Amino acid sequence: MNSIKKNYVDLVIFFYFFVFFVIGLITAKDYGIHIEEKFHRSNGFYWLNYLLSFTNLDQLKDVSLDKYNKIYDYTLSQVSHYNKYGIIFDVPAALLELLLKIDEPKKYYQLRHLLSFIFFFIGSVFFFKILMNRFKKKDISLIGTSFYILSPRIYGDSFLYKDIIFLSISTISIYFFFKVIDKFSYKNIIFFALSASAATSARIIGIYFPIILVVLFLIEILNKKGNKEYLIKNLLFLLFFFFFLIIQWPYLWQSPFNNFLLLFNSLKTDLISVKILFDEKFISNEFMPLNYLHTWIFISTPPLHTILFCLGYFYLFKRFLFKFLNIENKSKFDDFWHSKNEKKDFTILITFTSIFIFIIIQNIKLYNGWRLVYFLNIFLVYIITYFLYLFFFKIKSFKKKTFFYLVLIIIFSMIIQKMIVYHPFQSLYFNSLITKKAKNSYEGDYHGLGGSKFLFEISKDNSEIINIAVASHTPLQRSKEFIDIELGKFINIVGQEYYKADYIYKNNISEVNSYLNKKYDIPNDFIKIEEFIIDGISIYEIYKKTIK
Amino acid sequence: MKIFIYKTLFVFILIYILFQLTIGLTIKKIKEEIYNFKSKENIELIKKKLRSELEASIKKDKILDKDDVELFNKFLKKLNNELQSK
Repeated sequence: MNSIKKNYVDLVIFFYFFVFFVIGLITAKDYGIHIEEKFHRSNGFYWLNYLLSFTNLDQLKDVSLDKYNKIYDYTLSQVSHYNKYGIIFDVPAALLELLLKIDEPKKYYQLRHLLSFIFFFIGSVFFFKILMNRFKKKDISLIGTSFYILSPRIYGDSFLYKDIIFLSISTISIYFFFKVIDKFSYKNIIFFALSASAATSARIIGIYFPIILVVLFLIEILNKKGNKEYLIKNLLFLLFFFFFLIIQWPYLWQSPFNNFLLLFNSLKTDLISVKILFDEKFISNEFMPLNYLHTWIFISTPPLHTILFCLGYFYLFKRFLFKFLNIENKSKFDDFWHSKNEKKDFTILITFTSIFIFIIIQNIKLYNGWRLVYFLNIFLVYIITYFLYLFFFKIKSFKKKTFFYLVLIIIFSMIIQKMIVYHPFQSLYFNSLITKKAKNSYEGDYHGLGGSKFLFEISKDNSEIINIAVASHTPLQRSKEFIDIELGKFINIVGQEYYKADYIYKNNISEVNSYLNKKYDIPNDFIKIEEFIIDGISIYEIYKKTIK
Repeated sequence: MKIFIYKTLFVFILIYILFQLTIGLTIKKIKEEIYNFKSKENIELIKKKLRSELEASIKKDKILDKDDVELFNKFLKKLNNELQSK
């Protein structure tokens, strides 16, 4: 009987991931081009050329170099000016584009969207494994994974790589971190070092993983639990970590130590300084408001996520605060954990809390909502699952359990319904707790996804040249690549030279304070003819010239 | 010893956070004020304000008060005398 039930549950889990994968595959083509994709394609070919220069694959080298040289845009930064990005996604994508001989712009961007989703899918599977590893309950793990996937902004961005690649690799790293906690074997150390170094090459904040491991080690030393073998294994981990980091990050090859240190400087100097629309005001991201991060998380995450997270965080924090207050000089157990599961919870709590405080106190430059820290979703959902685990543990009655499962299913269905409404703009989701006016007082379509949709619509029934100006910081010319080449021939983007334009494309993305700087003001001879709105959020507005 | 280390670390972290949230935050606000004052947008705003003030004063019958006219007259005469004497 138990074996039948087990098979049935496994089948449900398989079906769940299968449906999720198929939906992603089918819908990947719907997502427009985001403004940084061109740079990442360029980054991919830049490093692919570099890697190929060590081989005899001359034909591949020529095609790759040719592709790299053809990537041009008058607003595009050159990779040679900033070559610090990791290659974990960009180079495999460039290589696949070469091997599959894809030359049509729309196709090679769709390939990247698909690859990005596959990364996210793998990350989701690993997240399920993290929850299984910790909570040992398939139902709770599946519910937790649903919270992970059904965060509309995260799901929408899962096709647009950038931040989701780091989120996915971090998920894999945490899984191997947990395996290291379970068994400090050489195999687990190598896998953890490999995944943590991949995370670090994707985003420098991945360095947090080895730091947390060292912190745990120091706590164990304080309890006289760490022995010589433990120390050697920790050192071995650090050795493997830096070895893999250098291997997979060509930027470090020439001068590993100096270039690695330069990355930390670049955090202060190379992150762009712009004005961002936050709570109706244009603020400089040089001076982030203290409430920036949690406001964004609160308004752009389904309310259930936030409520359960707050409850989970309260219980988790309380548990470790009591442990901290009751530390004894001599104890049979470790100070903060009595079991491996407690050690995992402590790891999650300490990592999340310290990163959160670090970002706020160090005034880390953020922009475009909280997308730069989407990896925090791992911790948010882990803590949500922790609360649900405690909650369902306390409920003994089968009927009550079934009732709460049903409530969760209904709420998930409502989130899915919202995600369908937003499709393919889920990355611009705001929850329904804030008003329509408030939704438009924060940055909107920073990815520029609406650009492809607008250009496609305006060009499809057209046979003469249309001049389009852009009253926003969005480089609309990049969206042109996502429409058919033939249609694109009739579109001429004129930037902010409004006098040349037949139409003006406007959204609320501005690098300057638009209340004071009038560069994005619409001239008087233009009238608004269209506004694309989803769930009260104005994605873009179109203005047409009235006098020729 | 262990408790001493924990307490030291805890106090150190707490002081650091408190420092950042009090003095650090004040420094950040001052820096932000200076940054905003020096910003291109603010300079443009001042220019605009100056222009509008000048335009408004042109429209007035008299720009200066009677006392100011006398004062400016005396000042200009003195300046003129000094310049001519050299």
